[in-house]
Amino acid sequence: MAQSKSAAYDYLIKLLLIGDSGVGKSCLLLRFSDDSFTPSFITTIGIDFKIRTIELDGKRIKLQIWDTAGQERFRTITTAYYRGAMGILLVYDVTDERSFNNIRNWFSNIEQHASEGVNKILIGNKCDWVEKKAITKEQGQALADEFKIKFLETSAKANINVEEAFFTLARDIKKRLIDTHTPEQPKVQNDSKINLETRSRFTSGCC
Amino acid sequence: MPQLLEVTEYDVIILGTGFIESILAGALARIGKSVLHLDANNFYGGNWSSLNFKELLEWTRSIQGVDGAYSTIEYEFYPIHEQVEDIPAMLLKESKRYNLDLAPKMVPCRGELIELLISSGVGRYLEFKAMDKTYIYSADTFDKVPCSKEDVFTNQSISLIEKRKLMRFLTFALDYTNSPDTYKDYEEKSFTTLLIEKFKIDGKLLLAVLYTIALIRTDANDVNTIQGLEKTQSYLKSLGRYGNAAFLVGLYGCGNEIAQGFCRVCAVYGGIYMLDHSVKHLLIDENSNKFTGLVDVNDQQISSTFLVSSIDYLPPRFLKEDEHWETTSRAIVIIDKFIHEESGDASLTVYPPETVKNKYPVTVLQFSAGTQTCPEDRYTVSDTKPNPLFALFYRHKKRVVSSSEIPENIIIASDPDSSLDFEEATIQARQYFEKMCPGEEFLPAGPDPDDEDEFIV
Repeated sequence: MAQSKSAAYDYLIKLLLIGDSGVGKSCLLLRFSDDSFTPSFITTIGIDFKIRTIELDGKRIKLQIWDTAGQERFRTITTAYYRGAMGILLVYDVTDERSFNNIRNWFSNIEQHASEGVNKILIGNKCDWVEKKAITKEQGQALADEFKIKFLETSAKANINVEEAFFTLARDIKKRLIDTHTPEQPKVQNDSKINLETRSRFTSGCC
Repeated sequence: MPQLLEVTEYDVIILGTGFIESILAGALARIGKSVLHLDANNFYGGNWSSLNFKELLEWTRSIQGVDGAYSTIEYEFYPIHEQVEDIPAMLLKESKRYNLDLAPKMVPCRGELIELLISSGVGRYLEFKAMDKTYIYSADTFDKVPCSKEDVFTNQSISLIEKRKLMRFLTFALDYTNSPDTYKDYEEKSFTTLLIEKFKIDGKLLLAVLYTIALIRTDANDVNTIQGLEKTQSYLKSLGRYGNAAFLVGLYGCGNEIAQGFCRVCAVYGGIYMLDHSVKHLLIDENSNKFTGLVDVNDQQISSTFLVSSIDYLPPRFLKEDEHWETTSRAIVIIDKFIHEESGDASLTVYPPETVKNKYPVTVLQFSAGTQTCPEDRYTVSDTKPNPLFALFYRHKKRVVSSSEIPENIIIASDPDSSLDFEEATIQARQYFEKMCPGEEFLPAGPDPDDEDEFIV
């Protein structure tokens, strides 16, 4: 396990977590970013976004993963939350039918506010809780097929498929945004955008 | 089935998600106050919002006949445009790609707001573009206004002599407090007099200094030397920080995106949000004249120590007569090409008084697709020149409250003013916070997630 300080990366990818309250979005995020799990975690307080830099095909990809900050509860997610997102994890709880049914609403929310072509993956979380399971894997897969997106069942608690979920999404985004632009024809940078932060950052990469 | 609140007691209830309310929401939650933030609209931003095209039309309908901050609302489609037959259908189809500010403003590159965005970390939620071109209209022509030193040298619309005069004035104004001898005889006089008599600036150049550099929004004769110098100085100080621009404009619209950034801070620190959620009435104890709580649309009684409220939610008896209100005439116009060649992503055009039968200066902010406020080949402005596709005209009132009536634990957030920036509003938010929470820090930065990053293979 190679470790180094954050600064260097080739590409920055912004991901969002979306889904009902209590489906385990923050737990997935903390499992992936900090490899930790807190069962007593009830609602999201204090998590803005988390960072984890991964390596894909020899490139360092910095994943900036944003949590809903609890604004999903009364469906008041800000339109600003969706700006610039390249990938979205749509999460439901396999033990909670309502959270599964609401995926359709979240999907249309994304259609409305996120940029066109944003990569999505459907996640059925809490798959370790077999005795309480209300939504079968087949139901999840069928919905994902309907939306033409990928699907995984995960457990943040038992650490099942969490890495796979984020890596799968990151790989699809890399394919869409980075691999299609050959070095001879670099993607045209919109370099007139101004970010206020004065900290120097290495951002050679995309978007 | 309405979703009821489990918790019905808060430190602060905030009504309206406009700019000032949202800064306060973020600041209060950040220091641990429990915050319930409600808005009767189904969108964020209140009177500071940015709307897509469909929302804008719905909004004009929702405010028709309502005795609020707006009056004389009219819009028109221009079907004469030859390439497109059905303009309304076309604009509605591309509706999502518009972010039209109800009260368009810019962010000075140095000032209260930008420092707050940087120090609080809210800036990292936002992206900006430079407003780096300014034009002035006079005698049927538009001239590009030189703003910075480089601009003065390369500008071809002014003579060498005028360039020298302008440079002399700009150099002095940037550091005017160190040359009191230059202006002390003019302190009691108007800024215009100083420019004419002391710096021999007149004609078009005078108009440019008054209305595009000092950005005077009223009758210039009412602006004294010190006020004019302060305005000029703050403009000049804003140059150079983010390239050759004194102002930034937000991507996807300005006021609403910034307000939503502060709402996110509030939510991250536990604030609860409900939109499309109206209030039936406020509960005010008659004996003590104190706000105690409110009854919401679901008949839930919710109490709090403080109420922060936009004027929209207050009973009319709290307001002064409307003759005390400042009114701004605004227009949103969608056009099919730039007003000027090379206007870039965002530009500012000023019509000085009396140039188009106007008493006060008319300011036009023009945005293109680069600011994510409209599709390609569409530009949003507040004046018509090329082919207009759509124009909405309205009057925007800054209402005034009567302070003697209002319970002391109700904090009232102002309507947007006629200025081109958010500086007064930012100062108001900070002052209210200091009044509510004396001694507490105003929006300290949270932990930076980037600092925790480790590279794990």
